[in-house]
Amino acid sequence: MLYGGRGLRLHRLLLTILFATLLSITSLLTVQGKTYAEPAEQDMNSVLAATEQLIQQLDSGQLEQGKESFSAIKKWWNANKTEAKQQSLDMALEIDSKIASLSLAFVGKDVKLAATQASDLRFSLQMYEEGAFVMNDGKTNLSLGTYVMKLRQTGDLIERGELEKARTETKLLQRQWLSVEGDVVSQSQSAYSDSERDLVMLDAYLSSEGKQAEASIIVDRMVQSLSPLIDAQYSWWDAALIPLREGIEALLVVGTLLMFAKKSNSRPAQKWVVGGTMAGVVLCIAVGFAVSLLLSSSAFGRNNALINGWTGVFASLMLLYVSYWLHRNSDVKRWNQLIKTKSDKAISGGKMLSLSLIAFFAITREGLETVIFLIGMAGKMPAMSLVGGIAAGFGILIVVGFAIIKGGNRLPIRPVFLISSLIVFYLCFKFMGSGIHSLQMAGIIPSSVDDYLPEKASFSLYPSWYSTLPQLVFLLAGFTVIVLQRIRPTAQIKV
Amino acid sequence: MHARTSNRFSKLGYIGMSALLAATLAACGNNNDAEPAASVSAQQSESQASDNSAIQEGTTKLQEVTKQLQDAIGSQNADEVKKLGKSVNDAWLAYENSVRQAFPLEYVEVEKYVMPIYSASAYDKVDFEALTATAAKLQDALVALKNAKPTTANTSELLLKAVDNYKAYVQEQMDQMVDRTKLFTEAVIAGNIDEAKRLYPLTRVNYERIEPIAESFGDLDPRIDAREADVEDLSTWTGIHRIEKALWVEKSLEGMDQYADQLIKDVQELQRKVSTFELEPKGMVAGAMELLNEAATSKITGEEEIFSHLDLVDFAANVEGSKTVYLSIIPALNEKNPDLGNQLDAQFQKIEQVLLSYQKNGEYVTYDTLTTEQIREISDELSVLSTLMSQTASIL
Repeated sequence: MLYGGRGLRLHRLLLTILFATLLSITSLLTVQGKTYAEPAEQDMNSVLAATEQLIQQLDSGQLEQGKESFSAIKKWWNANKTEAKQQSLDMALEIDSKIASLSLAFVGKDVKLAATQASDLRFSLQMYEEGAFVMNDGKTNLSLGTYVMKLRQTGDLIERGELEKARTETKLLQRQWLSVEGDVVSQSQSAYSDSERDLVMLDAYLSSEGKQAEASIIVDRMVQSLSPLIDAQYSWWDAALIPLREGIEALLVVGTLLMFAKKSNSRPAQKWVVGGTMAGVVLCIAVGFAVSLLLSSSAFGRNNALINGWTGVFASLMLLYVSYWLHRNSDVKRWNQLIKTKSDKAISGGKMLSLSLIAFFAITREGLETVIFLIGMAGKMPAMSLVGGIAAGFGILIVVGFAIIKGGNRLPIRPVFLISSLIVFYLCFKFMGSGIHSLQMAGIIPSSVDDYLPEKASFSLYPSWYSTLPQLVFLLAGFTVIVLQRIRPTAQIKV
Repeated sequence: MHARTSNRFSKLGYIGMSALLAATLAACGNNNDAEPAASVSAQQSESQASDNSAIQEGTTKLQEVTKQLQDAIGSQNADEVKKLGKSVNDAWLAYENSVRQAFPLEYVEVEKYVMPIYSASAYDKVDFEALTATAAKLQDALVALKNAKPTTANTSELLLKAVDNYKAYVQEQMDQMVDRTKLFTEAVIAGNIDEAKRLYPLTRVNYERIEPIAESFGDLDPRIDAREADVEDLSTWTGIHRIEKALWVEKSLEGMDQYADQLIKDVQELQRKVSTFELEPKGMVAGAMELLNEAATSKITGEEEIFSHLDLVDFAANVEGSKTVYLSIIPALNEKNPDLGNQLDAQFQKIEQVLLSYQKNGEYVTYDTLTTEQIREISDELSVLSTLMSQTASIL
């Protein structure tokens, strides 16, 4: 009973954490929801129409008629250039230069060249209209539609053999992925994980000689899988799914750790786990605020990949040990002996710190994703359904969390420890794969594609030796442990 | 601000990283960046010794030719001055590349004075007074070049210095614009059409040289520089092109005094705003590109000076303004992309050469006298120059 009271207090603490998370995310998204100044829509539409007409005229060789359409574009630009420069110097200079090149093509009376320049200009104008540019303050308003358009543009570059440019574009797409991934993951988990894999593979193919055809295929299949997701509408349930999907793994880790701490009768250990969790939550919220207020998602892109990568790799290494420990102590006799000899010092200070670190890593990893996904969704659905959805998602998480801890308390030690050790091993396998993959996205580890390797996104299996090799080592280690334990206990019982 | 924030986050990502991993990975990451810079500086030091003696030699020769030129100016010998003006240019071209690499700041100074001496050699009438001053300044710049020490500043310091130099140039142009606009508007108010027509191109030049900055202040640019074609409601049309129309089409200055009054007020307001204008390297480098874009979009098409047809004046001023930015970023270009510096230098020379051939007696021919082929010749050179200039963004 006394025991239960203590547990309840901790549960209440966890609940408070979740509630605080919810509140912070909500306020964060309201902040994010503000809209940026966009080019005056009506003007923009008429200038795009003029460009369209110009391209048609030039395609049919009518240079003189084209001049008139071009005048309208120049006039518009003259009136809007200063404003565009104030929004984004880069974007303004791009448009300015394309208008200048087109003007020179007119002077040279080169209809063909003018037609090409006009399509180039149309592309830039569309980017400008869609907000697909980095503003002077480093923010961006990139939509999935434009992202796919840029992907197509990269595909064109590959086809034309301009691989160096295509590679630069791919690096940019990797960084900008963060601005649109929330939009993708809320609709299709497979499109999301496939795209993450493809972005690394694309870079790898473009970096190696003679892989142009493979790179083209990657671009095509990315465009194909992402295109249907453009212009999606969201319901509250989509918002609820995000914390559910991202949170469940973190919850499994924290739940296992808490249960383990409880079984070992160590209150300080529980506190350490809760502390680590809390630190992770605070960090995620802080980063969420930083991303939505100070930086753009794409400016944060590489750092996010770095954080995800390192936390994934370290959490994985530590979880490997937890999995081993759980498995080893799943023998009832052994467990009781351990509890007896060490009483409530079953968990030493050093171990408590690692428990806390594991919780911190797991929460940071998954929490950051959650926050960034939700930021991506904000503004694409009514605020009420967004907040309601998030609340529902976290609510379900809380219920599941209670169930894990309560259930774990009631069930006998052996199955609980065995199952947890399996779950933890699965997570550690997965974290290693996705961690290495993130580091490849960040450019710390080289991207490579080894086509003969298996790929399965749900296990974070990627066709690259960099991520597959450590995973193989894990499997081998796990296998060895099981075999060894099969042999040893029988020997012990005989003695 | 931006870079600093990202740094903080990447540090965060490293928390908890094992020391071994950190050391190896960080070393790998850094190597890539360090390599090209190292090889560039190795190349530079290798050729530096031989360059230095070439620079001393070349400068001594240029000093001698300039001395001869000063003597010819002193004796008011026009033919000799023209001949020596060309020799000064030749002597400079013979070794300027190595100067640009080794002493970019001193290079800009010399370049500034060689150009007008060379241009003057093409004019029918020689302005001895102006040339006396220019030649004296050239001698000073050459003495400074002989005593020059290599710079040790890094790229970002060099760029900040470049911005300072460029801002001084902008200010100088602005002050000159106010003086010239004052004379011009006075002539307009006095109804003196010939004098106003003579002063008109002069007021244009300063504005067009610093156009990207001049047009950054809300509706000040349209008030000063709007063209008839860009105005929705003609009754609101003000500024210099309104007066241009009166001078060349209406051939009467009646009713123009209100526009003249407004023009000088607006230009003075522009001067105040420019004096407190904050400029960053990125904006400055972009400005060089914008100026060439301006030249391509409205000057070479004959739209800017639709009544006076003085488009080549504006065109040349755009190119000059762009060149000033280029000159000020040479130190940074030398660090990052010395080859681009060479190409830009050659192309600026080429386009200046072409433009010079369209001057008669120190004045540009009017746009309406140019043939289609001539216009294309100029625009082709501009196109090459623009392509080169667009690469300068890489030094940031």
